[in-house]
Amino acid sequence: MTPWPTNHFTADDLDSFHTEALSSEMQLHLETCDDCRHLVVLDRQVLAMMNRLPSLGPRDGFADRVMARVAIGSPAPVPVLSYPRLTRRRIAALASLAAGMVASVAWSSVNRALLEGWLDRTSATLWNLGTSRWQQGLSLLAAQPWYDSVREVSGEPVRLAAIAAAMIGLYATGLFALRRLVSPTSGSVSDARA
Amino acid sequence: MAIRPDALREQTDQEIVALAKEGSPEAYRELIRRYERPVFSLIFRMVRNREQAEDLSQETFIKVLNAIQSYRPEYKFSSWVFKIANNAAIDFLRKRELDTRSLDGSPHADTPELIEATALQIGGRGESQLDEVANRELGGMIEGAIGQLRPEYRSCILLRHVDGRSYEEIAEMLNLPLGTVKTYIHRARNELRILLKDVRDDA
Repeated sequence: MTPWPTNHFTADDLDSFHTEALSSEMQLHLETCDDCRHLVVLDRQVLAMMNRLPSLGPRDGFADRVMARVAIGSPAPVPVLSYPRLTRRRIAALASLAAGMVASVAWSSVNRALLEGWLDRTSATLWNLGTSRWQQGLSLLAAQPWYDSVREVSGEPVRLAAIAAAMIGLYATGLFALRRLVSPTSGSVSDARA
Repeated sequence: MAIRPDALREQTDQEIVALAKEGSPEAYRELIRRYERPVFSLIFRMVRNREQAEDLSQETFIKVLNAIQSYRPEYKFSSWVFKIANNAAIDFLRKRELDTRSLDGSPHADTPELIEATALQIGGRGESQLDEVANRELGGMIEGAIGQLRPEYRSCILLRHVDGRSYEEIAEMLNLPLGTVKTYIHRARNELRILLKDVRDDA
């Protein structure tokens, strides 16, 4: 026994029907289903009525009214790559820049030991400054009244994991809320009759 | 060198646009001639107000033609024009509410001259006077039913079943997903089947 399709016509089936591309399965369904037959007849009538809608035109002189407000321009010029002209002042500036660079390289190669000494001293100063600031920060943190209780709470791995999970959850919630706030709404068009 | 308008009739949109980009006023006029009726029809059926439809159509063409240098030929010209026209109509509908307007002219027209002046110019199809009256009446009912649809449904169904655009083209024009366009069109058809029930029974 052939199993009858139980699904009625979908929107795509209706389109297929109008373009005579209906599948044989749905064609068979149409022959046996009064509801779907009624639906396709009504849909065909609506489409026929829409096809009969006349073409509407603006009042005479429309083109003149438009043309009066259109700026008919010549084609946009094709942009050409241009380089700045070499004037005496520009040449002098370029020459002094090049001379400065050459002098800098020459001086560095002659006074190499002096330059390395400067670099070593500067990097040592920066390193010392960074570590002392880091130590200061840590001791400031440890001196806070709440530091001991926080350390005690986070002492156990299970508690620490719970706190980390809660923090991650809070962060994710914050991100989600921010996303909702910054996403533009898909504003639907108001009904003209409303 | 001036181009004869007749010579432009056979050319494709892309060829006309290329001429317009070179500054040919005849090409501008040809583009207006080709699209003034479809654009006006779409806008009028969206806003249902003749004066506003004229203004919006005019604004659409001014915008299109003034930006012709920036038109990219890889896109269909008609899609570009209809996109701008539809946006103009939707923006207008967002800004104000509208009453319905008869095809026979403005309800506010109180002299025969004013009624004539505000009546729509419908393309002739060689009908007898009786047919013309019957069709006008039927057309008015269909227009009224379309006017009762939500604006999103209205633009989709007009582009699909009056202008004959493909689903893909409509999706591109209206910046909507293809599935949404199909849904809107089928919902619109469902609503029209209900709204036009009496008309069908009489027809």
